[in-house]
Amino acid sequence: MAGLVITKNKIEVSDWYLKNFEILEEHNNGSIPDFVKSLRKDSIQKLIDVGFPTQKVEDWKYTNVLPIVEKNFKISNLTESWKDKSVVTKAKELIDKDLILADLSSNQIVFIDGHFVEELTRVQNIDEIKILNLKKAFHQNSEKVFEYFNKYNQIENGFNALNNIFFNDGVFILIKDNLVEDEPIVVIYIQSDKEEQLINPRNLFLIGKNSKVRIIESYLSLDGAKSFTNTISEIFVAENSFLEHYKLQNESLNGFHIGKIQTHLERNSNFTSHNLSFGSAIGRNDINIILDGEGAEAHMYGLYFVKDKQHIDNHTLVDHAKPHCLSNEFYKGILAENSRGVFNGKIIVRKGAQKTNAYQSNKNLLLSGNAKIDTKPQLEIFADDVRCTHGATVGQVDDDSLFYLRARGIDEKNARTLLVNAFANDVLSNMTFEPLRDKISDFVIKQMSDIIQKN
Amino acid sequence: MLRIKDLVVKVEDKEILKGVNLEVNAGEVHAIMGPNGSGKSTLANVIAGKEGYEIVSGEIYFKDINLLELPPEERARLGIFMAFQYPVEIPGISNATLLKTAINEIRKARGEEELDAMEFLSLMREKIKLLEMSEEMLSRSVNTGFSGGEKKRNEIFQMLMIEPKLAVLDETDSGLDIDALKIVANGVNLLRKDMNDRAIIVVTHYQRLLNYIVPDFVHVLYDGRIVKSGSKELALELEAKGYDWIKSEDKITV
Repeated sequence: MAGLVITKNKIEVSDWYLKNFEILEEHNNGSIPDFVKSLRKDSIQKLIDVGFPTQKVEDWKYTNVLPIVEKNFKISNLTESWKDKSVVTKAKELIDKDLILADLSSNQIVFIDGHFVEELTRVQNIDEIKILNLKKAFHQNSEKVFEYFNKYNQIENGFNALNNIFFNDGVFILIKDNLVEDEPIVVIYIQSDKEEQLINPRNLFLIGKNSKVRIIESYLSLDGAKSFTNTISEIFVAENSFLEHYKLQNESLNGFHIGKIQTHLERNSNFTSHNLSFGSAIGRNDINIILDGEGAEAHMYGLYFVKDKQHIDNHTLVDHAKPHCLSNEFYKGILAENSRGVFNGKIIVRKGAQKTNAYQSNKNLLLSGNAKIDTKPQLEIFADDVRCTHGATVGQVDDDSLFYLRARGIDEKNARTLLVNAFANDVLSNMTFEPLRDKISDFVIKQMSDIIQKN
Repeated sequence: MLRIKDLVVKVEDKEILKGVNLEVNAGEVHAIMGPNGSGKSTLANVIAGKEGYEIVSGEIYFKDINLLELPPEERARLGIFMAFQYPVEIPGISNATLLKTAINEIRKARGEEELDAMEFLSLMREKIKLLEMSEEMLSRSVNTGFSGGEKKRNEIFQMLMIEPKLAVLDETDSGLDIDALKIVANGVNLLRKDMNDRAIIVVTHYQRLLNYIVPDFVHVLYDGRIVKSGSKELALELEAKGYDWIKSEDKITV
């Protein structure tokens, strides 16, 4: 691996990605729309300009991305592991047996190593709901795709540029007006254990007016996968609509995950985000929400439970662009063994965004003396009639509670598990899709048992 | 049933219990009285197995089993139950979950079959009525948002569910009004109906509770030692004369 050039704020992009861009240009010739071609050209220039962030960059202060960017990942656009019969079989088994995903919904769309896999996908496309892979949506020349694709997504760092340049496929969901549907749409990305790949899923979810739906985005991998998932989802919620969005990241501890969710909310719309992070060696989520119409609401719930030497970094940004909006954020973290967590919740209240209500809370439970969390609220308020609160806590399992349970005959391990599960359920209780909530709660118990067994 | 011999206990280098001797037989109700700071709660906590106490010397045997070697959960499975002076609030764990987990772990440890959900529910419903608490409380988080009186009643409810061999009630009367006190005492007296293989230790500052739970023996714990033992009349005498009486007698009694 060639040495990387690192200056104060920038890790220069390696020749590897520039070379792969050229290969891809030839490879893709003619098969992609012009606006994507020009996005790629702009983005490669931007990538050369901005590079990848060092820890001198404020937003990346606690997260060192060098272990990710120094690797020469195979670009998944050029790999064929997704066609491998044994990989597809293993992926199917994984979904069918997964503690969380099995039997979750009758609507699922599946990707392996970033490629759409039709044989594992079962979606019912009706007039009110379109669920397509992005390539197909491009192919069908959907007007909506051209109108909204990359509309508010800005390149904030090299990883965003990387996705623009190398995204291969993803999901396009279009919900028409006046649709209420309980059954969630489940988007599943599975990373295989073949080669070390860079996978760039790219999703676009458009929710029409007066509708109410649930979307679950999940990322998992086959045992031993060492891939780097770098994802962008763009979400638009139109007037009076409700979207409950779940992101579930449970990839291999040998892999990396960087994800961005860019959300735009219109008048009186309601966006609820549940961000669940359990996997990957280094994980980073950026959830950006623009409240761009009066009466819009954003609810952000997060749970991260990490162990080993995992590093999980959650950055959220709520932009109160219009008056009379509400944002409510509640993130909880459980950090075991030598893991490390970062929470950064930024709230911007624009000039004129009066009668804003913005609440934020981050609570952490450290299960070991070697685990660590850095938590920080960031408020930028330019209006004067604003109600804004924030708070953060870091603590351990409470000794008095532990003794209380043990004095009732409950084994120490079980008592600890109960207490950790209770800590998690406090945030999980906000999930309205009960089957998923129960499964995540079970997953927390299992994760806790595994950790106790090992230590 | 319980035999405590020459028990010396330190907390953060300070000797709290300075040689306690106590013998409790099946069928008996003992009251341990004493002023604040005399070591009453320390004694209760050490019997239950709370960490943070240094056992300097002495022994505690329960039915010929050395308790000091056992973690709190194993003591509970033997049949020891402490009603806490300050019951802990545990958000996120319901009272029903706590009890179901506890009772099934105790049963499993004794080689008994676990209770199924229906058996368990009907048992809970039966017992909770006795404490004049609403069933809705079962699905609420343990002690969370409970008033002081509700917490104490919940302790006694748990005790009736678990049916311990040795119940240690640590200041269960503190913070209770007279109505709640009677309900709690009734609960304890229900346990008393079958004392064949059972004993109760009531730890209290005041004589008040003992009007309703009449003890067979009363001990006065003062400055880490049991300085006086007697029948239930001793409690009345204490109430009349106050603890100063013990203090003035202290030197000659020991």
